[in-house]
Amino acid sequence: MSQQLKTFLKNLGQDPDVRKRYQQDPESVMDEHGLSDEHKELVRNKDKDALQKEAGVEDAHMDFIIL
Amino acid sequence: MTGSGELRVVGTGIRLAGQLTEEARALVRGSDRVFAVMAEPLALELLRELNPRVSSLQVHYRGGRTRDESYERMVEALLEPVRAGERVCAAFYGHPGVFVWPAHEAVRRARAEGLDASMTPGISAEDCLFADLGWDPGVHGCQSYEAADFLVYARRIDPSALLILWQLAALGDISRSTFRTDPEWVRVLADVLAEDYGEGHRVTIYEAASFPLDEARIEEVALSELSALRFTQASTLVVPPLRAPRASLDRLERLGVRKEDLVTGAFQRHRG
Repeated sequence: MSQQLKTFLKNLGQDPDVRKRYQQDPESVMDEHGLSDEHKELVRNKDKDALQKEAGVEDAHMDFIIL
Repeated sequence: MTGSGELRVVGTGIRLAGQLTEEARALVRGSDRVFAVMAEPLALELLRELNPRVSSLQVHYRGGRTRDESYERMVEALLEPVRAGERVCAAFYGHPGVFVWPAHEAVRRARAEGLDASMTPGISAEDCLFADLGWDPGVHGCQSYEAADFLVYARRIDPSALLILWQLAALGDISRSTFRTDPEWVRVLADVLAEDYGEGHRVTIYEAASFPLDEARIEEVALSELSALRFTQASTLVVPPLRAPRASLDRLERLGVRKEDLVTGAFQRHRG
């Protein structure tokens, strides 16, 4: 599990400033969080399933709860 | 210890991490056990940072099992430790009281058994929709239905108000056990809406952003093109109003108010 990747995704989700800087300069924000080259590539490709797996998530698919 | 158990139902919002309220955070932290239904797997991991005793209720979804059977299992999984005296937190993505049958049912059943149960609101997909699309439900009025229920039970449409239809993924799932959309149901839905709005009326498919790298999906099409689109479990149909509402002269007379004496608010002028 990559703590850096998990922190990067968490900060992107909860901090509008990090999100704004990421939109302007994604590479710098990934560098700040110490992401490996492999993880940076997954972020660039928006490979959600692989990213969640690398961030330590056990199962990669979830169904929604609907009425 | 039996009898002192508690059920606290919370929502974790739609956008991962950022929409979890301080109140929900405190309830997750302070519980003996947390059961969760999250839309993103990573969200479970983030809940575990607050409380290591997090279990996913997703295990109750099974191929061939109806949603109602899955929800019954979820409700009982929540209540069992409450009956045994534990403080249980049930965390659902979004708002736990909006389109979440097992959350309300667990609270109802717990209270019926004399157990302490409460629900705390969260940020729903509808909240995200109003922010992302710029609709205010108070300006035009808002009709909000589950899409298949709206279609089958033939609700009356008010074309002067916003119409939101949820759960497009379940359109046509008459067995209540899959998440696949039946294209025929989408075509019939578009035809029904076209009777009031016209087939050229522009509608929006909306999906709130949940994963941090996602942007909201906002795809505008004519009603006649609706069936060509791909729907996911997050897809919602937004039908903008066709026209402004008209004042009722009859009601004004009953109220003893002349139309020319009415002061029109900025929000009413905005309707055109």
